[in-house]
Amino acid sequence: MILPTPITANALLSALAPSDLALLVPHFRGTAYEVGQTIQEAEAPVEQVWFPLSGMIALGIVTLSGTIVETAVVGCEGVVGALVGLGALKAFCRAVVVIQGHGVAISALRFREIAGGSESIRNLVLNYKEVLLSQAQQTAACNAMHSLDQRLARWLLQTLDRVQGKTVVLTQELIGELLGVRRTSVTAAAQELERKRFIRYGRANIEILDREGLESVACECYACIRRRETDFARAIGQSKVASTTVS
Amino acid sequence: MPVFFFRLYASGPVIDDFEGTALPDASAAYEEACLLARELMRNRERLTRHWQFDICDSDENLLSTLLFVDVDPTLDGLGWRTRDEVRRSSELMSALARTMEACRTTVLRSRAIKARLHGRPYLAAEHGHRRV
Repeated sequence: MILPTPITANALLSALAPSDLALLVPHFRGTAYEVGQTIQEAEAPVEQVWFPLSGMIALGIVTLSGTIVETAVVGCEGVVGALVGLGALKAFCRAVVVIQGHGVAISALRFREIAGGSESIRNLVLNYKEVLLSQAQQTAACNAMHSLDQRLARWLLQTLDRVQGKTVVLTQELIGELLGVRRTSVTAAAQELERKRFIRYGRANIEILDREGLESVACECYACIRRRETDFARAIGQSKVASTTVS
Repeated sequence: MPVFFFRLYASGPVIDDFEGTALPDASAAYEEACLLARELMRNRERLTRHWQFDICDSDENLLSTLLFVDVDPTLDGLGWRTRDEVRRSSELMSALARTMEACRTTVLRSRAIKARLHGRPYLAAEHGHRRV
């Protein structure tokens, strides 16, 4: 399929040296994904490695009751299923599309072969996994320590960082499921934020009116996650400059 | 299955539940209110003990109320006398918050009536509630 955005919209692919990117590109398949689509199932073999170019994917733990509780989110700054490149063949969590978008996918076995022969791809995936792990750790601490309005603000800001514009198209049922609370609780927490004029919410979308206000409500977890992601983006940008200069 | 609505009185204008939740009966609705209260007050119990849910049916009849302090797990280890004191102060805070909100509404309504008399623009509704 013809993608509406270039593959360099993905920060990891953009950070690869042209020689490494050339190894992957022939095997990429462009794909669009829809809200609610499961692209990776927990405890199942990883079949595809996904590089999002737009939209957002939530990684979550599936409870016995069948609900999914979000532990991390991935947008065009990351990759889903890439641990397979380092040897793991089963997924630890479910990956569900929460904001529709586009991406490129590569067969997990093919990705593993290519990563096996490229130290820079392996290092990039390993470093990104550290960032993703730190996001999951921070989210776990946030879920344990902070109130629902703080968590909702943190989640909205994380989502805002991964979408175009200022509107998040998402139902409150899905937000509730991801935050592990009831829809009614999300409605009440969202109305608290709306009263402060930080957001305007409808049945299936939330418009961010005042980002700074939302940041003042969010706990320190958002700032921590954001700082680590920014540091990582800066680091991989610098390493690309270095590798380009060397070659 | 009947639909129940959970109207939240926090520290400002009432937070309405426009969609409601289908539940078997009033007893299940009260249990649901307890779960919602615990979700909303978790990790900020001290600030939200005076919040209150009004549980209503689809005809807007008030079936029961739930003061958050009654499901505050952080009070579990305290003696009954202390819990009673905390509950009483939460009730007073809840009543004070409602009174302050009623005063604010009255001021808004008065301003609107005055503005209308002088043919000037006025705030007709706020947060989905008519003021005049």
